[in-house]
Amino acid sequence: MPGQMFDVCVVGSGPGGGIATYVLASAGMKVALVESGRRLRPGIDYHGHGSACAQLDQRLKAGHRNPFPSLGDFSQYSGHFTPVGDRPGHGMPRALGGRSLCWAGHSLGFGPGDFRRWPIAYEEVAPYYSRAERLIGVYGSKDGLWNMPDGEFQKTVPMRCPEMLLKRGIRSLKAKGRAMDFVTQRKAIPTDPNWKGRATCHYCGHCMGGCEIDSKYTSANTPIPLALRTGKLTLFTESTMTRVLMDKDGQRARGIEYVDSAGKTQSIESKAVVLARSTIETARHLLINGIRNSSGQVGKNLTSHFGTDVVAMFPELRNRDASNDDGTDYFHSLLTGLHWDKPHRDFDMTYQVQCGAGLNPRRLGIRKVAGYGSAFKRELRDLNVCHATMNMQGSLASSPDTYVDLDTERKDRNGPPFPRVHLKYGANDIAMAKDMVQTCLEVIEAARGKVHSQPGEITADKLGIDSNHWVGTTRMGTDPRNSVVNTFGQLHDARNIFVGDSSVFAAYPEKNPTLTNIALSWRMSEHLAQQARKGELG
Amino acid sequence: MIDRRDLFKIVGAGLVATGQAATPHEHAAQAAIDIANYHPRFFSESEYRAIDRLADIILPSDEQSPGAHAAGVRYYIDTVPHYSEPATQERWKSGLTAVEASAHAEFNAGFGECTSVQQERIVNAMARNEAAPSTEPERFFSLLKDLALEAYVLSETGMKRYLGYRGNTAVSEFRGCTHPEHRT
Repeated sequence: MPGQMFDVCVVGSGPGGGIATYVLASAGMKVALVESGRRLRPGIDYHGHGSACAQLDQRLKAGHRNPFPSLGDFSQYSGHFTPVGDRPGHGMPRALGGRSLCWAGHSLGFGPGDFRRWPIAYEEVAPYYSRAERLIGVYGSKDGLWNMPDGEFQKTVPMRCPEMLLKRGIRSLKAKGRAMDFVTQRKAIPTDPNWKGRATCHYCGHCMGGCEIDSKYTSANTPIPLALRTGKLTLFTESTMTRVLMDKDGQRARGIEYVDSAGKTQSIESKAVVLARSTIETARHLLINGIRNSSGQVGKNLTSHFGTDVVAMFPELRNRDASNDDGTDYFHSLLTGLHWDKPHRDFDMTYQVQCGAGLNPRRLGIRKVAGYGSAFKRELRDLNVCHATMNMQGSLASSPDTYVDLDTERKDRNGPPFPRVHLKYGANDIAMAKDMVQTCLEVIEAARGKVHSQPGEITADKLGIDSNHWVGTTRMGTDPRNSVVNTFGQLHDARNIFVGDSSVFAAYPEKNPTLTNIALSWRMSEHLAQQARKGELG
Repeated sequence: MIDRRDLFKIVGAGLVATGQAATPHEHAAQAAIDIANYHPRFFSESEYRAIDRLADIILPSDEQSPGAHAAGVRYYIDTVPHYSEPATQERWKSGLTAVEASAHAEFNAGFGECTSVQQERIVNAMARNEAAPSTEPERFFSLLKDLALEAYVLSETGMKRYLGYRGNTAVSEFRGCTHPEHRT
């Protein structure tokens, strides 16, 4: 079958691909969006209502473990990649919207200090942060932090009692001269009415498992529908890209090949290709295709966030009303501003601590109390009411032992080899983790709380990687000898291939990746449209 | 060739900028399970009674709230292994066999024939090394406790009467902490 001709083919509909689709279609380009999953129906395909007991049989029969239909049903966590080393994960959502569906909405812009390690300055990205925040709808409070600047915020969502007590500890440490701040989390969840036609948040707490009223921002509920309204977008759902089609000299893409829902191989021809399949998958596809990799950097410079948890307990809160702390899911607060101004003597880069509280029976993590019987029941209930979890998120140091390559032994059903994800913690990570735990213990003590649980002596096996925060495998740079894409996300080696996901990140601060992914994809797409207008893409 | 207008119908319908926000939706009430008349599918009737009793010792009725028996967790504990892998099913069967063996060794009777006090002593022994279990009954304790607790806190009784949880619902405002004493 002859291919169909488009101006641009965007592969992947997550946070980066969704925005690229919207910006490119709005610029008048004829866009094909290729997504391996299908369109989900919020509130039907995933929802948190009903009785666990009443739904259990039907859910287990269908092969699910969670009694409630959740976005986890549409994600693959194993079997599609080969982990090597310190237990790397790789979560792979398959649905229109991709990873923008199963995210907590945390929208933290990088600051001027963070961009010192990048080939572009904060000022070049700042306008795109503002545009992104206005489109996706972010709530937050104006905190005046220099390295996490305030954005275009909607009405904030306050902290619960245990989080307020953590703040007490942080206030006390700050008074003694410690550099740190404690702020409300910033999330892409509209709290102001009528945001782009999306429902206002109703604080039921199911953000991460799937927002059933479609209030939380996803690619599927905002940019893709807006792009469809331009009349310039054609969607190819349940279509999995198998390779990028290159011309004879291997320097220019002429489209992509994909397998459709019936298992038939098809092709799409386009003047440009935007790869936005994720840090792991984009690197995998560049490697599979034998697209020139003259820098040798494709798949290298892989990094993510890693961390561990400390749980605080405040006995003074035993009698508080904790009956509905659901809000916008668990983490309502953030400990930040650590080692921004003066680096720690034992490690490079820094970390943040996401803090959460609340009595939600679905949270498995807070069921860990020893014993049984009435005393156990009392202790467990008190812990649920009185606890605050401090979840540390640090920048993993890049290392020659942490990278993506191909597993030539294992191929997916369409033929291409699986990616191998290598992870190795090093001395910088261990030193940072020790400081994370130490800081949390000091905060709890200063807050007059008790420590319920902590990891103890830090070793690599106590650390957990964030399977959804990988970045860096196609890092940007001005020098084609040591970077994969230029500062606009355009491949040095194939000028009509662009990268729209967070694999382009040049360095990784402690902050969550999505808002920056959206801002950079927006900037990349404008550049692509401009080059196309000038006829520079051929 | 995929027709863009068809996709519009599927994907674009009612998604964005309709001028009115979606309203919180409601789901039809699901039929409750009739636990009193339920017959186990994975356990035998006598194993099912043992599971019910063990769970009720772990999560008893007391002045705080009704316990595991009243909450009907036995249905949940029978249903999960019913759909589990053979290896997990085997852990449940061998765990119960070990509990029976303890009852015979200690009290010369089956677990079901032991007195309440004797049954509690058996659970007490099972719970001795929760952090580092080494015997079959000790390993079974964690398996049983984890699932009993999951079933209990997700039941109406466990959620509302034990935990006092009133969330998972639409509210117009989230107020958070309103205590001046938590601000100092």
